[in-house]
Amino acid sequence: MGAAPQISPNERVAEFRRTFSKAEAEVGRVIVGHREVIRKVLAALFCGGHILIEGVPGLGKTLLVKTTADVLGLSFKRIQFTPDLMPSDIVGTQVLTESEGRREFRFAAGPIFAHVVLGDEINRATPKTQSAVLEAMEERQVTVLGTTYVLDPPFFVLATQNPIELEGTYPLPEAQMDRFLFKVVMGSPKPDELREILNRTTGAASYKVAPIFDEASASARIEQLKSLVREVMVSEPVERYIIAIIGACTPGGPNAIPEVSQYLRFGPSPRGAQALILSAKVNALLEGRVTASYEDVEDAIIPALRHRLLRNFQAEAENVTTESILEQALKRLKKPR
Amino acid sequence: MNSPVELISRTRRHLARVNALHGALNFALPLVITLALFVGFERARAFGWDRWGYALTAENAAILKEILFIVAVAELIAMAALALSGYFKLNDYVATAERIDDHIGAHQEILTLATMTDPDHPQTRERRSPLFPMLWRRTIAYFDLFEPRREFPVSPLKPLGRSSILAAAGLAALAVGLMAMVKPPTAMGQIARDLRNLARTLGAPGASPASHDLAAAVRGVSNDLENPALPPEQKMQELAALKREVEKLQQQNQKDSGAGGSRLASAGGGTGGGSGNSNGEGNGIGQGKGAGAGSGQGNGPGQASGNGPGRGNGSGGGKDKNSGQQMVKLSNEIDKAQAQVAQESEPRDKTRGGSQQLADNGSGVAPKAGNNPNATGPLSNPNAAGDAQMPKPGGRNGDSASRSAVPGPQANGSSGRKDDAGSSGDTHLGEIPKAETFARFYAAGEGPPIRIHDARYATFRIPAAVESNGAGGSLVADNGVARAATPYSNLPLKQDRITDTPDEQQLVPPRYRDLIH
Repeated sequence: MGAAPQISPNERVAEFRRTFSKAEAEVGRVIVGHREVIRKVLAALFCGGHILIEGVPGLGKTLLVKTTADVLGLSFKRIQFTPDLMPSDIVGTQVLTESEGRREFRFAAGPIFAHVVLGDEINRATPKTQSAVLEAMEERQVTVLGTTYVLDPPFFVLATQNPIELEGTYPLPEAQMDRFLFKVVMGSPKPDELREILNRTTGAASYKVAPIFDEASASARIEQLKSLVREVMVSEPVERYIIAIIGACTPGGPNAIPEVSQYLRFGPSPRGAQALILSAKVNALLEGRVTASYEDVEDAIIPALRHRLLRNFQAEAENVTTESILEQALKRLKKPR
Repeated sequence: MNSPVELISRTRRHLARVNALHGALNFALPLVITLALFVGFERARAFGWDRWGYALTAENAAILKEILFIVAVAELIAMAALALSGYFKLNDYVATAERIDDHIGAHQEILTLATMTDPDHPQTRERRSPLFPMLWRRTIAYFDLFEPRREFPVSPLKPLGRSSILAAAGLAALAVGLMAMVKPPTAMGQIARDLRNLARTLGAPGASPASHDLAAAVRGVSNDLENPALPPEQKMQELAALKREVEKLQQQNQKDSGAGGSRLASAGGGTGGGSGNSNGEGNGIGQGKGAGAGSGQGNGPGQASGNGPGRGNGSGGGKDKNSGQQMVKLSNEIDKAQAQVAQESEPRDKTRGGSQQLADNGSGVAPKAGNNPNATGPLSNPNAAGDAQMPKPGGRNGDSASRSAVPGPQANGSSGRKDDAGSSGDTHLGEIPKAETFARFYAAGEGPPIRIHDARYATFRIPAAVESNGAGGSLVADNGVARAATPYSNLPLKQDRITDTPDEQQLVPPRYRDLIH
């Protein structure tokens, strides 16, 4: 933070855009297609949030996360969530060690102690284990046997979940879902993309990503960029627009649209509004602006709010998705003038 | 280089003024029209009365003027309110910035800058971030070549369009109100209007001084005719005086025209004889059906007059002809007016008699208000119609002939037209003949003996009794007459109700189903 004021805002914004573009391009060298998913993953990282990626197996979710960590020069750990996974397997535990004739408990850090943590198939672990991740995601610290350990910034959790094979799974509780900044859905690759995937993965040649930051400075550089995101300004009308969106999606609220009242049990929490503003700020920076616009907000509505809406039985029976409800809200809402 | 804050403030003032102007323009046309109507109200009222005879009473006119005044004041207030509202609505720093933002597509950058530089809310400066200088520079770049007057010009078309809709609605409301308040012309009003039109023709530029004087006199009389305060006697006197003037002028014209006049006279004489035939038929009806009326009308003034002018005018020509026509028209109108005054001055039950008199007492041009001793009241005999001769205008030329005319040769009385019955005569007077109820057929015992071949239909009564063959000749019941056994015939026979339930349907084995049908 100390070096930041010395360079001009223009240069800082340009640096952000350059870094983002480079990271996006570098990840894109490994991951074929899914440009929007890559963009959202990086945006979530610079917003300081976590991301939930949903998709059927084999689409490259794990590869995406690992590549992102590699590109940014950050440490990476993977946790494969299974029903018998214990919280201590994630956060670590005290182990009794003996050195110089003395026995003592020493904290053996779990895989959560990394910059980028991949929670693979997070919905396969029990709620008890899932909740162990909660504190880490929100507080960026873990407490083991009364001792609190702060996680090194940037701490970024990318969880994946499989929408099929739901037997033996434990759907993420609403509280935990709310802690993810974005939920992105990875779709199947297009034929051209699939051909490119085949070329890249079945040939002899392999591509090793080039980190854009070295490991020593990566953390600091990313924190600087994160602080730049926070400095982006938001006008009062844009804030009112975001509040109106949240109000329109809150069932029982005075400004709820009819579809929301009909199909939702719960609407987005204030975290939803925070997610909208932060992602709008990143979008503004990517456009070279230092103020968020209505379009920046609208671009973030679906990934930032889709997992925060809780559908009722009627919506599930009629197969009404949260995305369609959000689109309706967008259509009905008028920008404040 | 202007700072963005100054430019936004300048644009704010400009937009407020433009918006105020646009707001005011919304009511501009209605206000202008209302004021124009208010100012030109009396003129429009006089014009409507003069041209079309539609009169607005003084009370209604005063009410309407008051309404117009109130509407004008209301429109003025609305205009001011809209202008003020428009001014204050856009006299807002942030709203102006947002409008500029939309206008130049700045993606809320100008808006954001405005929210952080609002002079009315200095506390908003706390929201500035270290990136604010960049925002400032970007906004300056946006404002390069920005000129408020050029970017937000006054565009009056849209508010004037709305204004015209309002004006049209107001005019429609006014028209409806006028239709409710205005008085359509009465019969007298129509005559007065016709007189005014004639006066306008007479007093046209290039007319002689005498014609101008006459036109003025006609105008005065026409105005008096519509004055309900004047007694009918005075109106009649004025009309008579005017009539004399007209006659004098006509005689003057005839003298001036010289040979033309003699031509006309001879033409009139010629037609007098020619018209005798047609007239004879009319008179014949009168004689045949109603003697009293027939003798009263037998003077046949219309007889000669009706034919006379037609020929006379046909042979005349040029200026004399036109002025003569105008005089004739004027004379006719005066006669109509006299008749109307007389009709209005008399009680309703005598009206028909009066009109009949007028018809009968034709002076050769048109019937006069009747003081004709020969005039009878409504004809007792319905078939005595047709006695009222149709005086034709311009009968001057045949006047002498008409006055000496005697009732035409009496016809056999068989050719009278039924439609003429009870007619008050001259539709030329603007009267519409009224149908009367009368017996169409002779009552029993009246009229000539009935002959079966004259009957339109015959009713036969079949006797229910027959005369006995006995010597006494008494009537006995005719038992041999066939009588219907039932009161109604040709009706379909009533079917006996089938109360039994139908047999249950038996399922047919599939192999036999094809055999059915």
